[in-house]
Amino acid sequence: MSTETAIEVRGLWKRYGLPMPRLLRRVTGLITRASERTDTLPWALQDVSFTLRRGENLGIIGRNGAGKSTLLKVLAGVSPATKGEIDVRGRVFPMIELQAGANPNLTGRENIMLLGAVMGFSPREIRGRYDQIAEFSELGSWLERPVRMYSSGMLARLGISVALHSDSDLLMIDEVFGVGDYKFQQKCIRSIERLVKSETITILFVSHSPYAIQRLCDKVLLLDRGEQAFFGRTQDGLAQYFNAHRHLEPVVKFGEQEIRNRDGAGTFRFDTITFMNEKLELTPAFYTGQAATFEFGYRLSSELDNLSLRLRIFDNQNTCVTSLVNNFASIRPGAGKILCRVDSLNLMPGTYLLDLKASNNLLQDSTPNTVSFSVQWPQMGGAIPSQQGLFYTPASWALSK
Amino acid sequence: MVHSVHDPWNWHLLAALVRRDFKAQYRRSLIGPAWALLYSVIYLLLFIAIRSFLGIPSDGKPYAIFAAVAIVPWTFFSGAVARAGTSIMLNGQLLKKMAVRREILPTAAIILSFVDFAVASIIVIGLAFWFGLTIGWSILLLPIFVLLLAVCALGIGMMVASIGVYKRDIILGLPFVLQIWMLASPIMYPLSIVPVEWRLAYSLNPMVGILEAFRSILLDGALPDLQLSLMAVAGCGLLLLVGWTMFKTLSQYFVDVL
Repeated sequence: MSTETAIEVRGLWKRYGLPMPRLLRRVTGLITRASERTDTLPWALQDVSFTLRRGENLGIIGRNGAGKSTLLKVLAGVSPATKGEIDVRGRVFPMIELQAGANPNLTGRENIMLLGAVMGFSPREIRGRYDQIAEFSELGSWLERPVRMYSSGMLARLGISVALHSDSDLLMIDEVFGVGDYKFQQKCIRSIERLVKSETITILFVSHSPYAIQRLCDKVLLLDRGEQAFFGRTQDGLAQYFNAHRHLEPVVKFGEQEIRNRDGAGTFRFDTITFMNEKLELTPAFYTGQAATFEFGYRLSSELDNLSLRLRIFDNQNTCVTSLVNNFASIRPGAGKILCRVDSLNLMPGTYLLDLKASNNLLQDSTPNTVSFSVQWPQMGGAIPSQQGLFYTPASWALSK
Repeated sequence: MVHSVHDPWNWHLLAALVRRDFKAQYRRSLIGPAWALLYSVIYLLLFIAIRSFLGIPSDGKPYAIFAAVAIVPWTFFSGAVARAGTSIMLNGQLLKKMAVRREILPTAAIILSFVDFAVASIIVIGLAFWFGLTIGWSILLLPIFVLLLAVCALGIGMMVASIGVYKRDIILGLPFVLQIWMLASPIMYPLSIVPVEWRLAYSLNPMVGILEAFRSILLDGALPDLQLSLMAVAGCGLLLLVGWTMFKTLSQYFVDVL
């Protein structure tokens, strides 16, 4: 990794809207009858500072409205900062609002030419690259049709194909992992990974996928309502984000809508998940090494034989830590509960997610892994045990001669 | 505040935008660029019809060519203002995505209007042959006045574009302003019918100096009036200065409201 600075941001503040001198604001206030106070919008970004070296890749995480996209816009020079210093070096390709085609009435090919021109390429340079871009996008004859006929996935494919062939020093990628079909996503991730490994290209990602962030980023910037809550190692940033932002409930009820939209035949459906500790008290917070009980409410519309259930537990990087499986020979129709008791929950402290799957000879139901619980150290006389690793292994130590 | 995202003049982008807009604007049109011609021809016929019962003098020249040499540059000007004025609004998607120098958009709009101007000039050339006009050396000065028109259109267009992003009213009101401006310029009638005591105030309109220059050069083969020309230069320069300054200040925040 080079020691050269790619991005330096010092004390960046951003507020949307036109900064008006007070007198002018009072005058327009009189006309539009808006008071001076309601006229100014809240800060979208407050005191953000960080430095990235060339070749480093940054993940920007935070909840919706935390200011992630605003930060990209300001860094891309699309929107001005209100206060603070920004130093961005090199050719920037901001893929902000990827879905928005440059001009809906032009064909895909013409849009590629235009985007290339925006990046400062001559028509000859763009033509030299055009075949590569066209091939990567897999759009084929669609490239000769107006972009307004494209699906959103196709638009995104067009945008990302140009971006990946733009020879930029700095790429800004806003939530693009969800675009296109699975195969195209994988292809994008592979190409981005190639760029990520490069020592000269700096990439900024905005993503809600901890998996992608973990895989692609060296550093993480966590934003919380416009404030910089964390900047540093990816691992630590993700941990902080997921601990702070999952609100944990001891009883999780799935919405009817959500249940209907799930995969599976649907004869069997999970409708609640309940967490209980060693004393069978309702709580989403467990202790390492102690017992935990998961209770799953279900409803069954007709009798099923040989139903197998699987519970998987994921850590905050979406790695499956463990899975528990059981078979029921026969279950009667109606509503009911399934209990799963773990005698010793050997997970290290942190926040975990779980998902459920039910199947007989075909898939009956599967829940998304959005339900979470936390694990913390039991009170152990003040000693703080090691925090490395994924699971807790009870052991006793002794000296022997 | 330092921001070193470099956005120098991007000539490739300017060229690409002109090309794109040229293709896009006539994409679903039957007669395509002939519209540029038709627009001026319709005005010309309308003026000839009006003159037939209003008895407008034409300084002893055939009225058709007298009106045409002013209609064609005016059409260029008003078309360029209208295009430049909406250029930011129409390209919001591009601006939201990329850090491009904002001035490129109204500039591309003006350049595109030159294409229409070139097409519409066929009328003037045709009529000049028909009426057997002799062209003098003064025609070498004509590009200066075409440039002045462009400068004036860019200045006004930038004002309209920068305010129009925040308040659409100015874009909605623009057609009326241009209509009134057309009537307040010597297009349908000669400067000579404006009362002498009003002449100075009337000539504050930079279009007066420019259009009179077109007439002197093309109809008389003479040099344009120096005082009127200098007033036009000063007026256009001032408009561009004001327009550009407004645009520079307001353009930073375009993306926040687009």
